Amino acid sequence: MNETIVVLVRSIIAFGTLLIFTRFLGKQQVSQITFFDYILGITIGSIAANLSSDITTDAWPYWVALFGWTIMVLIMQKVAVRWRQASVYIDGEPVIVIMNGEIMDEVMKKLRFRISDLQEQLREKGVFDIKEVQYAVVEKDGQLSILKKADNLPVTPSDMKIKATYRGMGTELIYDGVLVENNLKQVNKDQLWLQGQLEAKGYKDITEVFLAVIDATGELFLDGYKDKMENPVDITDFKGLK
Amino acid sequence: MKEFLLYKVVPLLILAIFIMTMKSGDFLKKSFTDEDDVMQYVELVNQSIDDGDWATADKNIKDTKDAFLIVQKRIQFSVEKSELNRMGAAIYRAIGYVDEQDAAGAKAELQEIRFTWDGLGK
Repeated sequence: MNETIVVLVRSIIAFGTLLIFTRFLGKQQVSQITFFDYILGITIGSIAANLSSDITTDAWPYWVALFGWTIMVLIMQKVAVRWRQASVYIDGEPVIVIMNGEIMDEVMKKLRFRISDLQEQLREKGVFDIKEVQYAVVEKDGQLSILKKADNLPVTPSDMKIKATYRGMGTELIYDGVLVENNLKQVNKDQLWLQGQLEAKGYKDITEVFLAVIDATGELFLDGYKDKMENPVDITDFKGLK
Repeated sequence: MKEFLLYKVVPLLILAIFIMTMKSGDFLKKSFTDEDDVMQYVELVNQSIDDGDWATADKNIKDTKDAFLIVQKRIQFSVEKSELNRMGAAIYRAIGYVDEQDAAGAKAELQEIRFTWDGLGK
């Protein structure tokens, strides 16, 4: 047995299968909404790793295990999407830990959530004074979502009665030196127009541009391959990279 | 149509190739030429031992080893390493017994070869 070739072939099988199965499971599993999703991800990954390198057993049982776990996750996803109660039973629910500025002690005890955990997560959200918080919710994945009291919310253009300009989503026209023709058609522009824009910014050709994005107002963002910065900020203190 | 091909047909085709690779052992261990018929050589060794023809038995057990080396390359992706090692060890022990003209030992090893062979790729 040529172990190198066997492991290589089994790695191709494991890699390809994992890629297809994860695409099959979709984005819900990839986002790992709950702790259980996270464990499922680890388990499936671990089975794939064994399929790839454990040549003391033939590949088939591992592949069947991979298939079995994927099917179970898929069934769980379908059940959770179809029945709300099943979703709550399987994934749990978000829980309010601060209500109207008051910490819910009993809820915290039930969740085995320490006050230091709460403070840490508040700080991660940029809140250093607990008095600023109106509501805090522990989400299904354990992350904290907060709503600050009205007095502590940042001012928005609508607060100031200012009409903000709609910017919309940017559309990539050039990606890595290559023209994205479909996107150019979508924004009702042509290559002649784009060439004019490039020349106005000092680029001779599309291949000199790393990224070009147009926003809803028609404003074009261009970034070339050659950085024009004369004195770029260097944040490394590791001399070996210089 | 293109989307159906890319997202349904191609992945299913790839999975089918993977499954075939993993489950091909039982099929690929079968003989395709005269030189890779492991079980035929085992039976010839058995017959030679019964006839007391140790010179032919010696040639046939070495042919068994060569045939197994050919088959091993084909089935290595779909069988356990330990099974291949077990099969190889039994063949080499049988070579030793035949060399020493020990009929009981050689026959016991031939039985082990048959048993291990039956389980290969299953």
